[in-house]
Amino acid sequence: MAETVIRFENVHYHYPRAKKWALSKINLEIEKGAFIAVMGENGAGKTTLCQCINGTVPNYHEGVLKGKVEVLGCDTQSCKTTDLADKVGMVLDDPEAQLFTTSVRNEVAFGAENLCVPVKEIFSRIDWALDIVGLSEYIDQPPTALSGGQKQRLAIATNLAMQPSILVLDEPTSQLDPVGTRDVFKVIRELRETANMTIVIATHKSEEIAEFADKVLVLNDGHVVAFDEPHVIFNDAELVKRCNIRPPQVSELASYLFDRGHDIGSKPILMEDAYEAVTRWYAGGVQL
Amino acid sequence: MGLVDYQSESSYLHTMDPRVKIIALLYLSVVVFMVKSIFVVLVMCGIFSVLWSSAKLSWKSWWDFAKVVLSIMALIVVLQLFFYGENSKAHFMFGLQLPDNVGILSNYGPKWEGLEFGILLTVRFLSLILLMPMVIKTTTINQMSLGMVRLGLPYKIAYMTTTSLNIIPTFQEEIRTIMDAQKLRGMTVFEEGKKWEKFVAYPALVVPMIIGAMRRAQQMGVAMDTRAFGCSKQRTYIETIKMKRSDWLYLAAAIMIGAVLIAGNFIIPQSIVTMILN
Repeated sequence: MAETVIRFENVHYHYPRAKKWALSKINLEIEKGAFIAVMGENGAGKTTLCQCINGTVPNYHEGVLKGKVEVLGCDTQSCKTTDLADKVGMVLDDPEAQLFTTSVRNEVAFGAENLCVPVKEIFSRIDWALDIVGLSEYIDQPPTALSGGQKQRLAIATNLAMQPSILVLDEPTSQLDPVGTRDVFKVIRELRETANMTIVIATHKSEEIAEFADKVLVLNDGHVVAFDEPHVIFNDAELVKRCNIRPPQVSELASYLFDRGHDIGSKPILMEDAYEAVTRWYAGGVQL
Repeated sequence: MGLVDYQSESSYLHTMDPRVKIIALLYLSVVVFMVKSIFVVLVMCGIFSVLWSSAKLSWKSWWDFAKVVLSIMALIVVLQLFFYGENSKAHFMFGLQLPDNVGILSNYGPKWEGLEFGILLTVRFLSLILLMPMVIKTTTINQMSLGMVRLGLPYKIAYMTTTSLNIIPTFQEEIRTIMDAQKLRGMTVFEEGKKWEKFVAYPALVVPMIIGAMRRAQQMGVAMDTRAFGCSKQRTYIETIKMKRSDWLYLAAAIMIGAVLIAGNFIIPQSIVTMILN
Protein backbone atom coordinates (compact mmCIF):
# COMPACT_ATOMS: atom_id res chain seq x y z
CA MET A 1 0.00 0.00 0.00
CA ALA A 2 1.37 3.41 -1.01
CA GLU A 3 2.36 5.93 1.62
CA THR A 4 -0.08 8.79 2.29
CA VAL A 5 1.75 12.09 1.79
CA ILE A 6 -1.13 14.59 2.08
CA ARG A 7 -3.92 14.21 4.60
CA PHE A 8 -6.85 16.58 5.20
CA GLU A 9 -8.79 15.79 8.38
CA ASN A 10 -12.16 17.53 8.55
CA VAL A 11 -10.68 20.79 7.27
CA HIS A 12 -12.72 23.99 7.21
CA TYR A 13 -11.29 27.35 6.16
CA HIS A 14 -12.80 30.82 6.34
CA TYR A 15 -11.14 33.91 4.81
CA PRO A 16 -11.25 37.13 6.84
CA ARG A 17 -14.35 39.21 6.09
CA ALA A 18 -15.78 36.45 3.85
CA LYS A 19 -19.45 35.57 4.18
CA LYS A 20 -19.05 31.81 3.93
CA TRP A 21 -16.50 29.06 4.42
CA ALA A 22 -14.10 28.67 1.49
CA LEU A 23 -13.55 25.01 2.40
CA SER A 24 -15.90 22.80 4.39
CA LYS A 25 -15.56 19.26 5.78
CA ILE A 26 -12.59 18.31 3.60
CA ASN A 27 -11.42 14.77 4.28
CA LEU A 28 -8.82 13.63 1.86
CA GLU A 29 -5.82 11.35 1.51
CA ILE A 30 -3.35 11.57 -1.36
CA GLU A 31 -0.80 8.83 -1.89
CA LYS A 32 2.83 9.22 -2.86
CA GLY A 33 3.36 9.48 -6.61
CA ALA A 34 -0.28 10.23 -7.42
CA PHE A 35 -1.33 12.75 -10.06
CA ILE A 36 -4.42 14.50 -8.74
CA ALA A 37 -6.41 17.09 -10.66
CA VAL A 38 -8.60 19.50 -8.72
CA MET A 39 -11.62 20.74 -10.64
CA GLY A 40 -14.59 22.96 -9.93
CA GLU A 41 -15.99 26.27 -11.08
CA ASN A 42 -14.42 29.58 -10.09
CA GLY A 43 -14.81 30.18 -6.35
CA ALA A 44 -15.23 26.46 -5.60
CA GLY A 45 -12.13 26.46 -3.36
CA LYS A 46 -9.43 25.03 -5.67
CA THR A 47 -6.81 27.69 -4.91
CA THR A 48 -7.52 27.59 -1.18
CA LEU A 49 -7.12 23.81 -1.15
CA CYS A 50 -3.81 24.09 -3.03
CA GLN A 51 -2.58 26.77 -0.65
CA CYS A 52 -3.47 24.57 2.34
CA ILE A 53 -0.95 22.00 1.11
CA ASN A 54 2.08 24.29 1.23
CA GLY A 55 0.91 26.12 4.36
CA THR A 56 0.20 29.45 2.65
CA VAL A 57 -3.24 28.93 4.18
CA PRO A 58 -3.32 29.65 7.10
CA ASN A 59 0.26 30.94 7.58
CA TYR A 60 0.15 33.68 4.96
CA HIS A 61 -3.53 34.55 4.77
CA GLU A 62 -5.38 35.45 7.89
CA GLY A 63 -8.54 33.51 8.55
CA VAL A 64 -9.86 30.57 10.48
CA LEU A 65 -8.64 27.05 9.79
CA LYS A 66 -10.35 24.17 11.56
CA GLY A 67 -9.21 20.58 11.30
CA LYS A 68 -5.75 19.40 10.33
CA VAL A 69 -3.68 19.40 7.16
CA GLU A 70 -0.73 17.05 7.33
CA VAL A 71 1.93 17.04 4.63
CA LEU A 72 4.66 14.40 4.86
CA GLY A 73 4.01 14.21 8.58
CA CYS A 74 4.13 18.00 9.15
CA ASP A 75 1.10 19.83 10.47
CA THR A 76 0.91 22.90 8.22
CA GLN A 77 -0.43 25.03 11.08
CA SER A 78 2.71 24.50 13.14
CA CYS A 79 5.19 24.58 10.21
CA LYS A 80 6.10 27.78 8.38
CA THR A 81 5.68 27.91 4.60
CA THR A 82 9.46 28.29 4.32
CA ASP A 83 9.95 25.12 6.40
CA LEU A 84 7.74 23.21 3.98
CA ALA A 85 9.55 24.62 0.94
CA ASP A 86 11.86 21.62 0.47
CA LYS A 87 8.87 19.27 0.71
CA VAL A 88 6.21 21.10 -1.31
CA GLY A 89 6.80 23.11 -4.48
CA MET A 90 4.11 25.56 -5.53
CA VAL A 91 3.50 27.03 -8.97
CA LEU A 92 1.07 29.95 -9.13
CA ASP A 93 -1.22 30.91 -11.99
CA ASP A 94 0.59 34.16 -12.79
CA PRO A 95 4.11 33.40 -14.02
CA GLU A 96 5.13 37.08 -13.86
CA ALA A 97 4.55 37.28 -10.10
CA GLN A 98 6.85 34.38 -9.25
CA LEU A 99 9.90 35.34 -11.30
CA PHE A 100 11.96 38.11 -9.74
CA THR A 101 15.63 37.73 -10.59
CA THR A 102 17.63 38.83 -13.61
CA SER A 103 18.49 35.52 -15.28
CA VAL A 104 17.01 32.07 -15.76
CA ARG A 105 20.03 30.58 -13.95
CA ASN A 106 19.59 32.79 -10.88
CA GLU A 107 15.84 32.20 -10.87
CA VAL A 108 16.28 28.42 -10.70
CA ALA A 109 19.08 28.68 -8.15
CA PHE A 110 17.15 30.99 -5.79
CA GLY A 111 15.30 28.32 -3.78
CA ALA A 112 18.28 25.98 -3.52
CA GLU A 113 20.49 28.87 -2.39
CA ASN A 114 17.98 29.65 0.37
CA LEU A 115 18.11 26.01 1.47
CA CYS A 116 21.92 26.29 1.77
CA VAL A 117 22.51 23.61 -0.84
CA PRO A 118 26.24 23.44 -1.75
CA VAL A 119 27.08 25.48 -4.85
CA LYS A 120 28.31 22.51 -6.91
CA GLU A 121 25.08 20.65 -6.20
CA ILE A 122 23.02 23.76 -7.13
CA PHE A 123 24.68 23.92 -10.55
CA SER A 124 23.87 20.28 -11.25
CA ARG A 125 20.28 20.83 -10.11
CA ILE A 126 19.98 23.88 -12.41
CA ASP A 127 21.09 21.78 -15.38
CA TRP A 128 18.73 18.96 -14.42
CA ALA A 129 15.69 21.21 -13.84
CA LEU A 130 16.21 23.23 -17.03
CA ASP A 131 16.73 20.06 -19.03
CA ILE A 132 13.42 18.63 -17.81
CA VAL A 133 11.46 21.77 -18.67
CA GLY A 134 13.35 22.22 -21.96
CA LEU A 135 14.84 25.64 -21.19
CA SER A 136 18.57 24.81 -21.09
CA GLU A 137 19.34 27.08 -24.01
CA TYR A 138 17.81 30.07 -22.19
CA ILE A 139 20.00 29.77 -19.08
CA ASP A 140 21.59 33.22 -19.49
CA GLN A 141 18.44 35.01 -20.64
CA PRO A 142 16.43 37.28 -18.35
CA PRO A 143 13.07 35.66 -17.42
CA THR A 144 11.29 38.69 -18.91
CA ALA A 145 12.52 37.64 -22.36
CA LEU A 146 10.62 34.32 -22.24
CA SER A 147 7.15 33.60 -23.63
CA GLY A 148 4.19 32.86 -21.33
CA GLY A 149 4.57 29.07 -21.66
CA GLN A 150 8.32 29.28 -21.14
CA LYS A 151 7.84 31.44 -18.04
CA GLN A 152 5.43 28.91 -16.57
CA ARG A 153 7.87 26.07 -17.31
CA LEU A 154 10.60 28.15 -15.69
CA ALA A 155 8.35 28.57 -12.62
CA ILE A 156 8.15 24.78 -12.45
CA ALA A 157 11.93 24.50 -12.79
CA THR A 158 12.45 26.95 -9.92
CA ASN A 159 10.56 24.53 -7.69
CA LEU A 160 12.31 21.44 -9.07
CA ALA A 161 15.71 22.77 -8.04
CA MET A 162 14.57 22.40 -4.43
CA GLN A 163 13.71 18.77 -5.16
CA PRO A 164 10.34 18.69 -3.39
CA SER A 165 8.39 15.46 -3.00
CA ILE A 166 5.13 17.18 -3.82
CA LEU A 167 4.42 19.70 -6.56
CA VAL A 168 1.25 21.80 -6.33
CA LEU A 169 0.22 23.76 -9.39
CA ASP A 170 -2.56 26.31 -9.16
CA GLU A 171 -4.02 26.79 -12.63
CA PRO A 172 -0.56 26.89 -14.22
CA THR A 173 -1.93 26.94 -17.76
CA SER A 174 -4.68 29.51 -17.34
CA GLN A 175 -2.76 32.12 -19.37
CA LEU A 176 -1.35 29.73 -21.94
CA ASP A 177 -2.37 28.75 -25.45
CA PRO A 178 -3.04 25.05 -26.29
CA VAL A 179 0.60 24.43 -27.29
CA GLY A 180 1.92 26.01 -24.08
CA THR A 181 -0.63 24.03 -22.04
CA ARG A 182 0.46 20.78 -23.68
CA ASP A 183 4.14 21.56 -22.99
CA VAL A 184 3.47 22.20 -19.31
CA PHE A 185 1.48 18.97 -18.89
CA LYS A 186 4.20 16.96 -20.66
CA VAL A 187 6.75 18.34 -18.20
CA ILE A 188 4.52 17.42 -15.27
CA ARG A 189 4.07 13.88 -16.59
CA GLU A 190 7.81 13.50 -17.03
CA LEU A 191 8.39 14.64 -13.47
CA ARG A 192 6.02 12.09 -12.17
CA GLU A 193 7.60 9.33 -14.21
CA THR A 194 11.23 10.20 -13.55
CA ALA A 195 11.12 11.57 -10.00
CA ASN A 196 7.99 9.82 -8.65
CA MET A 197 6.75 13.23 -7.56
CA THR A 198 3.24 13.64 -6.17
CA ILE A 199 1.36 16.13 -8.33
CA VAL A 200 -1.69 18.17 -7.34
CA ILE A 201 -2.94 20.47 -10.06
CA ALA A 202 -5.93 22.80 -10.06
CA THR A 203 -7.08 23.27 -13.63
CA HIS A 204 -10.04 23.49 -16.00
CA LYS A 205 -8.22 21.74 -18.86
CA SER A 206 -10.30 18.56 -19.08
CA GLU A 207 -8.56 17.06 -22.15
CA GLU A 208 -5.22 17.09 -20.35
CA ILE A 209 -6.76 15.85 -17.09
CA ALA A 210 -8.34 12.92 -18.96
CA GLU A 211 -4.95 12.00 -20.39
CA PHE A 212 -2.62 12.63 -17.47
CA ALA A 213 -4.43 12.49 -14.11
CA ASP A 214 -4.95 9.40 -11.93
CA LYS A 215 -7.84 10.90 -10.06
CA VAL A 216 -10.00 14.00 -10.17
CA LEU A 217 -11.10 15.84 -7.05
CA VAL A 218 -14.25 17.84 -7.69
CA LEU A 219 -15.00 20.79 -5.44
CA ASN A 220 -18.29 22.60 -5.29
CA ASP A 221 -18.88 25.54 -2.99
CA GLY A 222 -15.97 24.46 -0.77
CA HIS A 223 -17.11 20.83 -0.43
CA VAL A 224 -15.58 17.72 -1.98
CA VAL A 225 -18.36 16.28 -4.11
CA ALA A 226 -16.38 13.58 -5.91
CA PHE A 227 -12.92 12.03 -5.89
CA ASP A 228 -12.54 9.39 -8.54
CA GLU A 229 -10.89 8.39 -11.79
CA PRO A 230 -11.30 10.82 -14.73
CA HIS A 231 -13.58 8.54 -16.79
CA VAL A 232 -15.96 8.13 -13.82
CA ILE A 233 -16.10 11.88 -13.22
CA PHE A 234 -16.49 12.97 -16.84
CA ASN A 235 -19.15 10.36 -17.57
CA ASP A 236 -21.30 11.41 -14.61
CA ALA A 237 -23.60 13.79 -16.50
CA GLU A 238 -25.42 14.99 -13.39
CA LEU A 239 -22.16 15.78 -11.53
CA VAL A 240 -20.62 17.52 -14.52
CA LYS A 241 -23.71 19.72 -14.93
CA ARG A 242 -24.12 20.47 -11.20
CA CYS A 243 -20.47 21.45 -10.71
CA ASN A 244 -20.15 23.34 -14.00
CA ILE A 245 -17.31 21.19 -15.27
CA ARG A 246 -16.58 21.02 -18.96
CA PRO A 247 -15.86 17.39 -19.89
CA PRO A 248 -13.44 16.55 -22.75
CA GLN A 249 -14.88 17.33 -26.18
CA VAL A 250 -14.91 13.65 -27.17
CA SER A 251 -17.11 12.92 -24.12
CA GLU A 252 -19.44 15.70 -25.13
CA LEU A 253 -19.62 14.27 -28.64
CA ALA A 254 -20.41 10.78 -27.32
CA SER A 255 -23.15 12.19 -25.04
CA TYR A 256 -24.54 14.26 -27.91
CA LEU A 257 -24.79 11.18 -30.12
CA PHE A 258 -26.23 9.08 -27.29
CA ASP A 259 -28.94 11.69 -26.58
CA ARG A 260 -29.95 11.42 -30.23
CA GLY A 261 -30.22 7.66 -30.11
CA HIS A 262 -26.75 6.73 -31.41
CA ASP A 263 -24.88 4.62 -28.89
CA ILE A 264 -21.25 4.35 -29.98
CA GLY A 265 -20.73 1.55 -27.48
CA SER A 266 -18.55 3.29 -24.88
CA LYS A 267 -18.05 6.62 -23.17
CA PRO A 268 -14.58 7.75 -24.27
CA ILE A 269 -12.68 10.57 -22.61
CA LEU A 270 -9.53 10.29 -24.75
CA MET A 271 -9.21 11.01 -28.45
CA GLU A 272 -7.73 7.55 -29.19
CA ASP A 273 -10.61 5.77 -27.40
CA ALA A 274 -13.14 7.95 -29.20
CA TYR A 275 -11.49 7.15 -32.53
CA GLU A 276 -11.72 3.41 -31.86
CA ALA A 277 -15.32 3.64 -30.63
CA VAL A 278 -16.47 5.70 -33.60
CA THR A 279 -14.60 3.44 -36.05
CA ARG A 280 -16.31 0.37 -34.54
CA TRP A 281 -19.62 2.16 -34.63
CA TYR A 282 -19.19 3.01 -38.34
CA ALA A 283 -18.09 -0.55 -39.10
CA GLY A 284 -21.26 -1.81 -37.46
CA GLY A 285 -23.34 0.09 -40.00
CA VAL A 286 -24.50 3.52 -38.94
CA GLN A 287 -28.10 4.48 -39.52
CA LEU A 288 -28.38 8.28 -39.36
CA MET B 1 15.19 51.31 -20.76
CA GLY B 2 14.43 52.90 -17.39
CA LEU B 3 16.77 54.60 -14.98
CA VAL B 4 17.00 51.80 -12.42
CA ASP B 5 17.08 48.61 -14.47
CA TYR B 6 20.31 46.75 -15.07
CA GLN B 7 21.98 47.61 -18.39
CA SER B 8 24.26 44.88 -19.64
CA GLU B 9 27.49 46.36 -21.02
CA SER B 10 31.17 45.59 -20.90
CA SER B 11 32.70 48.42 -18.91
CA TYR B 12 35.03 48.55 -15.91
CA LEU B 13 32.08 49.71 -13.78
CA HIS B 14 30.17 46.54 -14.69
CA THR B 15 33.05 44.31 -13.62
CA MET B 16 33.87 46.27 -10.46
CA ASP B 17 33.23 44.56 -7.11
CA PRO B 18 29.73 45.61 -5.91
CA ARG B 19 31.13 46.44 -2.45
CA VAL B 20 33.34 49.15 -3.96
CA LYS B 21 30.35 50.60 -5.79
CA ILE B 22 28.13 50.55 -2.68
CA ILE B 23 30.80 52.15 -0.46
CA ALA B 24 31.64 54.77 -3.11
CA LEU B 25 27.94 55.51 -3.58
CA LEU B 26 27.32 56.09 0.12
CA TYR B 27 30.55 58.09 0.60
CA LEU B 28 30.13 60.35 -2.44
CA SER B 29 26.42 60.91 -1.66
CA VAL B 30 27.49 62.32 1.71
CA VAL B 31 30.20 64.40 0.03
CA VAL B 32 27.65 65.88 -2.42
CA PHE B 33 25.66 67.22 0.52
CA MET B 34 28.71 68.24 2.53
CA VAL B 35 30.18 70.58 -0.05
CA LYS B 36 28.58 74.00 -0.21
CA SER B 37 30.54 75.54 -3.05
CA ILE B 38 28.65 75.49 -6.32
CA PHE B 39 32.00 75.20 -8.15
CA VAL B 40 32.87 71.99 -6.32
CA VAL B 41 29.40 70.49 -6.85
CA LEU B 42 29.66 71.30 -10.56
CA VAL B 43 33.05 69.54 -10.65
CA MET B 44 31.46 66.48 -8.96
CA CYS B 45 28.60 66.52 -11.47
CA GLY B 46 31.20 66.67 -14.25
CA ILE B 47 33.14 63.70 -12.82
CA PHE B 48 29.94 61.64 -12.53
CA SER B 49 29.01 62.55 -16.12
CA VAL B 50 32.38 61.29 -17.36
CA LEU B 51 31.93 58.05 -15.38
CA TRP B 52 28.39 57.67 -16.77
CA SER B 53 29.65 58.00 -20.34
CA SER B 54 32.58 55.66 -19.75
CA ALA B 55 30.16 52.98 -18.44
CA LYS B 56 28.31 53.26 -21.78
CA LEU B 57 25.04 54.03 -20.02
CA SER B 58 22.09 55.58 -21.79
CA TRP B 59 21.94 59.38 -21.57
CA LYS B 60 18.36 59.30 -22.85
CA SER B 61 17.11 57.35 -19.83
CA TRP B 62 18.95 59.84 -17.58
CA TRP B 63 17.53 62.86 -19.37
CA ASP B 64 13.95 61.45 -19.21
CA PHE B 65 14.26 61.30 -15.43
CA ALA B 66 16.25 64.54 -15.17
CA LYS B 67 13.39 66.39 -16.87
CA VAL B 68 11.06 65.35 -14.03
CA VAL B 69 13.65 66.31 -11.41
CA LEU B 70 14.28 69.67 -13.11
CA SER B 71 10.57 70.52 -13.15
CA ILE B 72 10.37 69.84 -9.39
CA MET B 73 13.63 71.70 -8.76
CA ALA B 74 12.33 74.71 -10.72
CA LEU B 75 9.66 75.08 -8.05
CA ILE B 76 12.27 74.76 -5.31
CA VAL B 77 14.48 77.39 -6.99
CA VAL B 78 11.53 79.81 -7.06
CA LEU B 79 10.78 79.15 -3.38
CA GLN B 80 14.44 79.61 -2.45
CA LEU B 81 14.59 82.76 -4.53
CA PHE B 82 11.93 84.44 -2.41
CA PHE B 83 12.26 82.81 0.99
CA TYR B 84 16.04 82.32 1.39
CA GLY B 85 17.92 83.68 4.39
CA GLU B 86 17.60 86.75 6.55
CA ASN B 87 17.05 90.24 5.25
CA SER B 88 20.23 91.63 6.78
CA LYS B 89 22.49 89.01 5.20
CA ALA B 90 21.03 88.70 1.72
CA HIS B 91 21.34 90.80 -1.42
CA PHE B 92 17.98 91.62 -2.94
CA MET B 93 17.74 91.56 -6.73
CA PHE B 94 17.47 94.98 -8.35
CA GLY B 95 16.60 96.53 -4.98
CA LEU B 96 13.25 94.74 -4.91
CA GLN B 97 12.85 94.87 -1.14
CA LEU B 98 9.64 95.72 0.67
CA PRO B 99 9.84 98.65 3.14
CA ASP B 100 10.61 97.92 6.77
CA ASN B 101 7.14 99.02 7.91
CA VAL B 102 5.55 95.78 6.50
CA GLY B 103 7.15 93.83 9.34
CA ILE B 104 8.24 90.26 8.68
CA LEU B 105 7.25 90.51 5.01
CA SER B 106 10.21 92.81 4.42
CA ASN B 107 12.47 89.73 4.82
CA TYR B 108 11.05 88.16 1.69
CA GLY B 109 11.82 89.09 -1.86
CA PRO B 110 13.96 87.87 -4.77
CA LYS B 111 17.53 87.40 -3.52
CA TRP B 112 20.73 86.52 -5.39
CA GLU B 113 21.72 84.12 -2.59
CA GLY B 114 18.36 82.33 -2.88
CA LEU B 115 18.84 81.86 -6.61
CA GLU B 116 22.37 80.55 -6.03
CA PHE B 117 21.24 78.14 -3.30
CA GLY B 118 18.38 76.87 -5.47
CA ILE B 119 20.83 76.18 -8.31
CA LEU B 120 23.21 74.48 -5.86
CA LEU B 121 20.40 72.16 -4.71
CA THR B 122 19.50 71.41 -8.34
CA VAL B 123 23.07 70.49 -9.27
CA ARG B 124 23.31 68.32 -6.14
CA PHE B 125 20.19 66.38 -7.17
CA LEU B 126 21.39 66.07 -10.76
CA SER B 127 24.67 64.66 -9.38
CA LEU B 128 22.76 62.16 -7.26
CA ILE B 129 20.59 60.99 -10.15
CA LEU B 130 23.83 60.33 -12.03
CA LEU B 131 25.54 58.58 -9.14
CA MET B 132 22.79 56.27 -7.83
CA PRO B 133 21.52 54.88 -11.16
CA MET B 134 25.16 54.48 -12.25
CA VAL B 135 25.60 51.90 -9.50
CA ILE B 136 22.20 50.26 -9.98
CA LYS B 137 22.44 50.09 -13.78
CA THR B 138 25.87 48.44 -13.70
CA THR B 139 25.14 45.84 -10.99
CA THR B 140 22.80 42.85 -11.21
CA ILE B 141 20.46 42.42 -8.24
CA ASN B 142 22.25 39.24 -7.24
CA GLN B 143 25.61 40.99 -7.21
CA MET B 144 24.13 43.94 -5.36
CA SER B 145 22.51 41.84 -2.64
CA LEU B 146 25.64 39.71 -2.35
CA GLY B 147 27.70 42.89 -1.96
CA MET B 148 25.36 44.17 0.75
CA VAL B 149 25.51 40.85 2.60
CA ARG B 150 29.31 40.79 2.43
CA LEU B 151 29.28 44.31 3.88
CA GLY B 152 27.33 43.00 6.86
CA LEU B 153 23.72 43.77 5.98
CA PRO B 154 21.27 40.94 6.87
CA TYR B 155 20.48 38.91 3.78
CA LYS B 156 16.71 39.44 4.06
CA ILE B 157 17.07 43.24 4.10
CA ALA B 158 19.67 43.17 1.31
CA TYR B 159 17.44 41.08 -0.92
CA MET B 160 14.29 43.10 -0.20
CA THR B 161 16.16 46.32 -1.05
CA THR B 162 17.47 45.07 -4.36
CA THR B 163 14.19 43.38 -5.29
CA SER B 164 12.27 46.60 -4.68
CA LEU B 165 14.65 48.35 -7.08
CA ASN B 166 14.12 45.61 -9.62
CA ILE B 167 10.34 45.95 -9.39
CA ILE B 168 10.28 49.64 -10.38
CA PRO B 169 10.47 48.88 -14.13
CA THR B 170 7.57 46.44 -13.65
CA PHE B 171 5.49 49.23 -12.14
CA GLN B 172 6.42 51.54 -15.00
CA GLU B 173 5.18 48.88 -17.40
CA GLU B 174 1.99 48.48 -15.35
CA ILE B 175 1.35 52.25 -15.45
CA ARG B 176 1.64 52.18 -19.23
CA THR B 177 -0.86 49.28 -19.38
CA ILE B 178 -3.32 51.12 -17.11
CA MET B 179 -2.89 54.26 -19.21
CA ASP B 180 -3.70 52.28 -22.37
CA ALA B 181 -6.72 50.70 -20.65
CA GLN B 182 -8.01 54.13 -19.61
CA LYS B 183 -7.47 55.44 -23.15
CA LEU B 184 -9.56 52.55 -24.51
CA ARG B 185 -12.36 53.70 -22.20
CA GLY B 186 -12.21 57.13 -23.76
CA MET B 187 -9.96 58.88 -21.24
CA THR B 188 -7.82 61.13 -23.41
CA VAL B 189 -6.80 63.61 -20.73
CA PHE B 190 -3.21 62.31 -20.59
CA GLU B 191 -2.77 63.01 -24.30
CA GLU B 192 -4.87 66.09 -24.88
CA GLY B 193 -5.59 67.55 -21.46
CA LYS B 194 -4.05 70.58 -19.80
CA LYS B 195 -1.56 70.15 -16.98
CA TRP B 196 -4.07 70.69 -14.18
CA GLU B 197 -6.53 68.31 -15.89
CA LYS B 198 -3.80 65.67 -15.96
CA PHE B 199 -3.07 66.35 -12.32
CA VAL B 200 -6.74 65.90 -11.37
CA ALA B 201 -6.93 62.69 -13.44
CA TYR B 202 -3.92 61.05 -11.78
CA PRO B 203 -6.00 59.01 -9.28
CA ALA B 204 -7.36 57.06 -12.27
CA LEU B 205 -3.79 55.86 -12.83
CA VAL B 206 -2.46 55.71 -9.31
CA VAL B 207 -5.34 53.85 -7.61
CA PRO B 208 -5.31 50.81 -9.96
CA MET B 209 -1.51 50.83 -9.81
CA ILE B 210 -1.47 50.70 -6.00
CA ILE B 211 -4.07 47.92 -5.94
CA GLY B 212 -2.10 46.01 -8.58
CA ALA B 213 1.15 46.61 -6.67
CA MET B 214 -0.35 45.26 -3.45
CA ARG B 215 -1.66 42.16 -5.21
CA ARG B 216 1.69 41.62 -6.92
CA ALA B 217 3.59 42.12 -3.66
CA GLN B 218 1.39 39.51 -1.96
CA GLN B 219 1.88 37.00 -4.78
CA MET B 220 5.60 37.64 -4.82
CA GLY B 221 5.71 37.14 -1.06
CA VAL B 222 3.99 33.77 -1.44
CA ALA B 223 6.33 32.82 -4.29
CA MET B 224 9.40 33.80 -2.26
CA ASP B 225 8.23 31.96 0.87
CA THR B 226 7.47 28.91 -1.25
CA ARG B 227 11.09 29.02 -2.35
CA ALA B 228 12.34 29.10 1.24
CA PHE B 229 13.24 32.79 1.32
CA GLY B 230 14.64 33.59 4.74
CA CYS B 231 14.28 30.03 6.09
CA SER B 232 17.71 30.38 7.68
CA LYS B 233 20.12 33.22 8.38
CA GLN B 234 22.76 31.72 6.11
CA ARG B 235 22.43 30.85 2.46
CA THR B 236 24.69 29.81 -0.36
CA TYR B 237 25.37 31.91 -3.45
CA ILE B 238 26.14 30.59 -6.90
CA GLU B 239 27.81 33.89 -7.68
CA THR B 240 30.99 34.90 -5.93
CA ILE B 241 32.66 38.25 -5.46
CA LYS B 242 36.31 38.86 -4.75
CA MET B 243 38.11 42.14 -4.32
CA LYS B 244 40.70 42.41 -7.07
CA ARG B 245 43.68 44.72 -7.03
CA SER B 246 41.90 47.06 -9.42
CA ASP B 247 38.90 47.19 -7.05
CA TRP B 248 41.13 48.37 -4.20
CA LEU B 249 42.54 51.03 -6.53
CA TYR B 250 39.05 52.19 -7.54
CA LEU B 251 38.03 52.39 -3.88
CA ALA B 252 41.15 54.39 -3.02
CA ALA B 253 40.51 56.70 -5.98
CA ALA B 254 36.90 57.31 -4.88
CA ILE B 255 38.03 58.14 -1.33
CA MET B 256 40.77 60.45 -2.65
CA ILE B 257 38.40 62.27 -5.01
CA GLY B 258 35.91 62.78 -2.17
CA ALA B 259 38.65 64.06 0.13
CA VAL B 260 40.00 66.47 -2.52
CA LEU B 261 36.49 67.81 -3.14
CA ILE B 262 35.90 68.35 0.57
CA ALA B 263 39.26 70.15 0.83
CA GLY B 264 38.38 72.19 -2.28
CA ASN B 265 35.18 73.23 -0.60
CA PHE B 266 37.22 75.06 2.05
CA ILE B 267 39.63 76.66 -0.44
CA ILE B 268 37.22 77.79 -3.15
CA PRO B 269 34.75 80.54 -2.15
CA GLN B 270 31.46 78.96 -1.17
CA SER B 271 29.24 81.68 -2.63
CA ILE B 272 29.93 83.47 -5.92
CA VAL B 273 27.22 86.00 -5.09
CA THR B 274 28.83 86.97 -1.79
CA MET B 275 32.22 87.15 -3.48
CA ILE B 276 30.97 89.45 -6.24
CA LEU B 277 28.53 91.61 -4.32
CA ASN B 278 30.68 92.19 -1.23
